[in-house]
Amino acid sequence: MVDNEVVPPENRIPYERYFEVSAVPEPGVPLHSYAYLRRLTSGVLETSPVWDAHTHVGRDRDGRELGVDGLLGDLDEYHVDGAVIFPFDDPDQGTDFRVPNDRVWAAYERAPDRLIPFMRLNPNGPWEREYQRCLDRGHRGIKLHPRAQDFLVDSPAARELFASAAADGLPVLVHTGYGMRAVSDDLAAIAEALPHLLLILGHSTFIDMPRAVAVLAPYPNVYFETSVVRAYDLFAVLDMIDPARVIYGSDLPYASSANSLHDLAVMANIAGVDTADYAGLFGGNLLRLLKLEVPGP
Amino acid sequence: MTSDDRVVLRGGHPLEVCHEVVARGLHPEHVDVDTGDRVLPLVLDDRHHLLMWIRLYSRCLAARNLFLAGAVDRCLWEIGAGLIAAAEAPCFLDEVYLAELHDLLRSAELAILAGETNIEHHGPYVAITMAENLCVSRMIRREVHADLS
Repeated sequence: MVDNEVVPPENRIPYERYFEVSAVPEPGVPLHSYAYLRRLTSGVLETSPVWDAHTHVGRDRDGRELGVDGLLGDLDEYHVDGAVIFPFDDPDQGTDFRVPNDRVWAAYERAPDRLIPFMRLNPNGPWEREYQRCLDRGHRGIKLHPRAQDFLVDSPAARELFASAAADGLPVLVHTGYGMRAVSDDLAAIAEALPHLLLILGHSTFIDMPRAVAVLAPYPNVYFETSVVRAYDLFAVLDMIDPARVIYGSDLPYASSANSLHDLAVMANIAGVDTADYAGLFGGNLLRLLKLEVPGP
Repeated sequence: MTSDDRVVLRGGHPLEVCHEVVARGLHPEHVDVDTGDRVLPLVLDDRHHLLMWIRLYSRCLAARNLFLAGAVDRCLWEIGAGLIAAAEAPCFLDEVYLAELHDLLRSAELAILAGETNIEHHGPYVAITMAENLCVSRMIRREVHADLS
């Protein structure tokens, strides 16, 4: 046995450049398995609650669909305790998303201890009545998709919606990914005007990275959700943003829990995030944001 | 020990081989692995490692952009080229990562072949983005530890 740690620095072999034994899969363990992800996350997946902030149930205009059984099956395979659920860009959305929001609620009722229902709204339509209906029923947050529903985040209707959410303590997850124009300045203005608004940036505003992290870093009420973010943008988030403001998401069913957990774990390691913060990244931050109890390890 | 001072280890699994490399104080770039049916270098040198992952990353990038441009036939061609480039691992330790990349590209290919060919289809875009991310994480790995050392 050669102790690589006691040899002179100039003679030390930099094994970590080539591999980390702790991250090399065990025999018969593929990269997309829970057994491998458990090791990659320093055991956090095993010891801390893991919650996904971005999943869809129902069906989409593009033909994709996901039911509660399929969702729970994927979560179970990777020991994800639960997920925020909200509608797709549903062909039955009408002007107010009433039908898809009912589908989400029905899914929630099948697994209320594992699913957190958000409502999806269209600020271009009569959103106020649907907002109140879902709020009264118990939806815990809002999903907005400015591209799919064709509105600007700083439009008067959207601002009114953000103000209502802030007043009622409902977090709002806004799609800030593919197909969006640069939105970080508009979102910063909203976050400043509504300091009690809890704003979750779906896909971490990758459209105007790395500027977005600099623009939005000063606002403690803005959170970065990590689904389908390119590795270099995820690095920028993990490198520059307080890890307490970074929230794991997958975008199921488009991405799998496996790939989403893997990307966040690898880039957190590369960005040098303290492993003590991993429990927050993978679920604790979301639960805290939603004022849900965070069980101890 | 071979004539050019390379060490040949017998083994079929990366974790066991890595443990032995560390235990014997071997430099990873000086190790070959005999899996029983072939002999591969444990790792590539920096230039070949970087260029392999740049090649694969560029295939993924091209495939994603062609998909978003609506050119699905060309997108499938790039995915096919990526699958070919990922099929034969040039070193032992990257084999497991290339297998994962293969799965992601194949997932995108199957979704497109099943009819997800329109820009409004999110699935192929996501699978290819995940493949891109895998390539980036492999490319940056040595650089990160060069910074720290």
